Amino acid sequence: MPTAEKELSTVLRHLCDLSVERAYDPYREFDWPASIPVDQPWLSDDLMSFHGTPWFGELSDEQRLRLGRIELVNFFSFNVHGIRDLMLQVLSRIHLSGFEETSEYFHHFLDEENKHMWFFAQFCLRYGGKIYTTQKIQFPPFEESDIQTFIAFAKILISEQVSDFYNVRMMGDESLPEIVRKVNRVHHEDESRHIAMGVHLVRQLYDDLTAKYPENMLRQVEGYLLRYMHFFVESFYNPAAYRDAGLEDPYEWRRRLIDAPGRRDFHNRVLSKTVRFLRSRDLVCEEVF
Amino acid sequence: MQAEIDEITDQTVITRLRDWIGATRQVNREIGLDVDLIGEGLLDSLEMVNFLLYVEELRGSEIPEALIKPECFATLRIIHNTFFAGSEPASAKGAA
Repeated sequence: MPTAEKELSTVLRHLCDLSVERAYDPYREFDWPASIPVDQPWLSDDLMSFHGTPWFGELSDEQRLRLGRIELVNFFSFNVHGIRDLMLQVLSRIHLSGFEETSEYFHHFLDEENKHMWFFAQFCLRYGGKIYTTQKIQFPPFEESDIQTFIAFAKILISEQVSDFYNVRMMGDESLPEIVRKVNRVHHEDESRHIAMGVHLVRQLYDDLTAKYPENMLRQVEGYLLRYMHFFVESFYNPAAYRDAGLEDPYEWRRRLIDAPGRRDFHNRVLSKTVRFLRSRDLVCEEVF
Repeated sequence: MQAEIDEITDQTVITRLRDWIGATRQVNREIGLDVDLIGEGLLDSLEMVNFLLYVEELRGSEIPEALIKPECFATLRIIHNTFFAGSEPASAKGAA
C-alpha cells in the first residue's frame, strides 16, 4: 500500500474510534430554552456582515442585536442546506468501488452530519421561526467523474473549515447565550474529525488527479475552487435576512457589503486555513480575495 | 424567430438579463431567447445564486423554493415566462 493510502487508512481507523468514543444523543444533549433573551447578542459582532464597514457604527443597538439574531439564523440555515448537500455527495459514493477504505468512516460522518442538520434546524425553527431558503442550484462543473469526486470533497472541506471559523469564535464568546455557544461547540467537536478526514482525502484525491491530468485541466479545477470560495463566503450576505432585519434595498446591501474594503480582510481570515492547505498542495496558486 | 421575440412585451427584462449574463460571463455575442444557458456554460452553479438574486431584484419579490431548479432557468424565454410574464418588473434600482 502506498504511503499516502496507508496514512489515510490509519487516520480513518483513528477517526472511527473517536466517533464511537465520543458518540452522543443529540435529542438529549441540548436543553433548549423556551426563548432566548433579545437584549443580548446572539452573534459575535465581528462575525456580522456589517462589521468592518462604515455602516456598522451607524446601526443602533437595537438594529445591531436584531441583525445579529437574523444573521445567526441565516448562518445556521446555511449549515442545514450545506449539510444536506454534502450528505448527498457522500451517500452517492459510500460502498462504491474506490471508496472501500473510507466507507466505514462515511457511516460515522453521515450519522454526525445528520445530527448537526437536526440541531441547526431545531435552533432556526425554535428561535427564528424558519429556515432560510437556499438559492443553490447544483449541476456538476466537470464531466470527469474523478474530478467531480475531488471537487465534491474539496467543497465539503472548504465549507467545514469556514463554518468552523464561525463555530470557534462563537463557542468562546461569553457574551452569547449558552445555547448558541453549545450548538457551536458540539458542531466544532465533530467537525474537527471531519476536517481531519477531508484534509487527507482531498490530498489523496488531488494526487490522483495530478498523476492523470495535464496542467491546464488542473488550473481549471483551481479556477473552480477559487470561485467556489468566493461563492461560499458571499452566501452569508443574504438579501432575505437583510429584508427581515428591516433594511431597505436588501440586494443593494448585499452588493455593497461584499465589495466593502473592510470586508476583504474578514474574507481572507475566514478562508485562511483552507487557503493555507490548498496552497501547500499547489491546489491553489492565485489570490482568493 | 423575430416574430416570437416580438411576442415578449417586456423587452427591458430580457435585455437586462442578457446584459447581466453577457457582462458576468464576458460574452460578446447576443444571447438568443432559446439558447441553452446552462448547457452552453453561460450560467453555472456558482453563478446561479447571483443570477437568481438578480432575477428576484428585477421582479421585486423572492423566487418560491419550488421554482429554484435548473429547468426554470434553462433559457431567457423560460426565465421570462416563469418569473415575469403577466407582471410588471420592479424598477430594480442599481440593477442595470
